[in-house]
Amino acid sequence: MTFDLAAARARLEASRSRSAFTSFMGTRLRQVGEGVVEIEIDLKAPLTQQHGTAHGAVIGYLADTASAWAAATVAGDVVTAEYKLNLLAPAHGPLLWARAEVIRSGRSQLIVRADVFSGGSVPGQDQLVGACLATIVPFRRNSRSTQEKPSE
Amino acid sequence: MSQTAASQPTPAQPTSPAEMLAYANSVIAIQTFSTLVGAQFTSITATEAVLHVPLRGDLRQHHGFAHGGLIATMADIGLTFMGAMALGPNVLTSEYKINFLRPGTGNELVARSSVISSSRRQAVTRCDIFAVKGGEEKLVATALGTIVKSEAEPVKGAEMLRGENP
Repeated sequence: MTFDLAAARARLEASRSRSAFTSFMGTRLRQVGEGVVEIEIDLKAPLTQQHGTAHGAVIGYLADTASAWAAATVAGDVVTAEYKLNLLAPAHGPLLWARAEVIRSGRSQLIVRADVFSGGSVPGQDQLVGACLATIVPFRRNSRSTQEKPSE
Repeated sequence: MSQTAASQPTPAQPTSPAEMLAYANSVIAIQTFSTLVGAQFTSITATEAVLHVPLRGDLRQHHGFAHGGLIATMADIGLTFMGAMALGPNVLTSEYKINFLRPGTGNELVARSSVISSSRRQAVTRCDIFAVKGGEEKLVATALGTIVKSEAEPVKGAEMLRGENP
């Protein structure tokens, strides 16, 4: 099976517009490849913490989303099972971006590595602010729950 | 917490890559646990380290694969030594996370570690563990860890633990 880049990008764009939280965060897709994704957001004031830098949860959001989307390019619909994140430096923005890469793709799980960067003000001066290692699992709709009718 | 490079007898400050490698392996030599599993560095620099363990029969689990505890041990050693390269010799592992990707088969395991980021007190390091079979390396696990500078004194009787008579 060959990798269809256009189809993968179309799938991600479609899932991005369907996901309320992804839209809320203003997530943009900047690069897609087989098992590789880059996404970015603008660091708006509501996403900062008491020191004016990005809230840790925002770095987690970028790592999680980039990891899941990288896995989705090879495995279709997926969900995150777990991830571990090291916060490395304060993220000042104005741009935050993440690059995720599938390092092992199995039938039941995909292991994805993601790095999160802060920058956008000086080209080539982006700083690594987060390092993440995630387990993503293919999403298989539970046949029972789809067949079950509401009881009332 | 695992204590790795804490308060070792310090030979002359290593200057060349060969001296650094000899120094790292001299620390391994006094860590009885690292010696027990047969761990040896084949190279170590400020940014990268390569650790080898021959996959003996007594290091395997019931399916004949490398035991997960062995793979985690290699990750811990690699992560911590890279932390020591960034922070100085007196360090401890604060935490690490490991993903097992494939069963470890073959005749040798190789751990390749690197420093991702370091500040005054802590370093974040990464370690990939490969199984070597017929000269070919396959990624079997990957780990991400936090190494911190230690202010702890070595425990009393550490000489005894190292098999020396105080």
